[in-house]
Amino acid sequence: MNYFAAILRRDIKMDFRHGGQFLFLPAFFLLIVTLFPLGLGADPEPLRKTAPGLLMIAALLASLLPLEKLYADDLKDGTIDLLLLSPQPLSLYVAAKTLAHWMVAGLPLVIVVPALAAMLGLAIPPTHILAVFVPATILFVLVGQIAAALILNARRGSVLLALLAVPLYIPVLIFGSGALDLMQAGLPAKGPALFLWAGLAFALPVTPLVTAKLLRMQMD
Amino acid sequence: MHKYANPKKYKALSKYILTASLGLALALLGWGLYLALIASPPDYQQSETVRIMYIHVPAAWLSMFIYASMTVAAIVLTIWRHTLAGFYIRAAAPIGACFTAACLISGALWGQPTWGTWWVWDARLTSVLILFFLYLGAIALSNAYDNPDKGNQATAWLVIVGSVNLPIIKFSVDWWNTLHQPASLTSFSRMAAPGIHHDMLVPLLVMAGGFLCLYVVLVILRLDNEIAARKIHVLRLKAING
Repeated sequence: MNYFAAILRRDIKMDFRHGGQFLFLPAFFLLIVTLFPLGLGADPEPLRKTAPGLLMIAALLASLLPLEKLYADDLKDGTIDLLLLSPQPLSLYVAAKTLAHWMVAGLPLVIVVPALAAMLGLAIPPTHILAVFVPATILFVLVGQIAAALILNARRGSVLLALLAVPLYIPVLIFGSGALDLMQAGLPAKGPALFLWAGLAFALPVTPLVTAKLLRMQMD
Repeated sequence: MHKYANPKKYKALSKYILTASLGLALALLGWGLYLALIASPPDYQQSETVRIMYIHVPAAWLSMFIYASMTVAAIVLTIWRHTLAGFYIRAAAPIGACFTAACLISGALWGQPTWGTWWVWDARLTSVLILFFLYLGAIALSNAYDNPDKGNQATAWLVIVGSVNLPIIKFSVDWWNTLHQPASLTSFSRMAAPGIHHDMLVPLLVMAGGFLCLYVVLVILRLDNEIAARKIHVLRLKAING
């Protein structure tokens, strides 16, 4: 557990000292959301109707952006080499890394989402929005890190990352915006929201194991 | 199975399979095309355009079959480090992408006269399109590595993750479609309840058999290329390292 906490602390500290994704990612999120009224027109009614999808797509893109560096830096400076020599399982490192990454890159998006929802005229209580965006952003990290580990030794990694990760994100997008759509219409939205949580329950134990295998594969 | 990890032993076997499946492919496709284009009756609703089905449906079947076979190869590669399985994934992915594209394009050409539109955001169409992107990802990843072995292993993992995700994507897309758009254009009744008439089923199955044999021919040719390319790679490394 000490090991887990140490990596978690290290990653969060590094992010703070390296300019802080936790500040510029919500800004990027806001920027994408700003593009939609500019592109689609300022008429509030169509914006309110499309707001669930717009928010999910903007969150998806904002989650995609910082993924490339998730393991690349640790691979480059030899951290993963040393971790492989240690008796601790690599999947524990991956789990800590995932949590740290969500805290600096996912949680800030979750925090600003209610404000953006209000700007688009989405009339849903913030707690309901969080019930969708918390599992969705964690899933973006969990699934995205597999893609991040796949491209570690690849050329043109960043373009590749989007091509690999986005198809895997589709179920999250569908259930997330589906749940918000139903909430906005005043219908029971438990079904799709629970699918997100079920996906989280499945991905949480499985994806760190897969990513650890991939990192090991990249090292030998 | 492990015996054929040796390219020489594999080649001794594949030579015969290649000849046999080439002959079979020519025969089945010739017979199938005759049945599909000339001998089979036009549909009572769609008239002659139904003949697109004999290309469209086998291509759709193969697009799924090839991904499934790549998944098996990916598991074999990850567990046993079977060299040939890695070559197979590389060889099969572009062919699978082509069959998926053929399915999408023939579907669009069929949709125009029958549905009145080239494309609808229907659950089936959308999930085939996503399958196409999964193929593109596999092709791009396998070509992005300097070390071909590592590229194959990474692609194998991508294929495995994709195959776990594919049913989830399919399910979510089905759900999405039923939520947003009630079944208006999606009456895929041609395959459903009343079944398909014998006169159309036979050419369809013959064409599917022909497509499958064609795929075997293409994949063996590409596998031979992969093996040759690997030999060149190794020879070059030897020449450099002395």
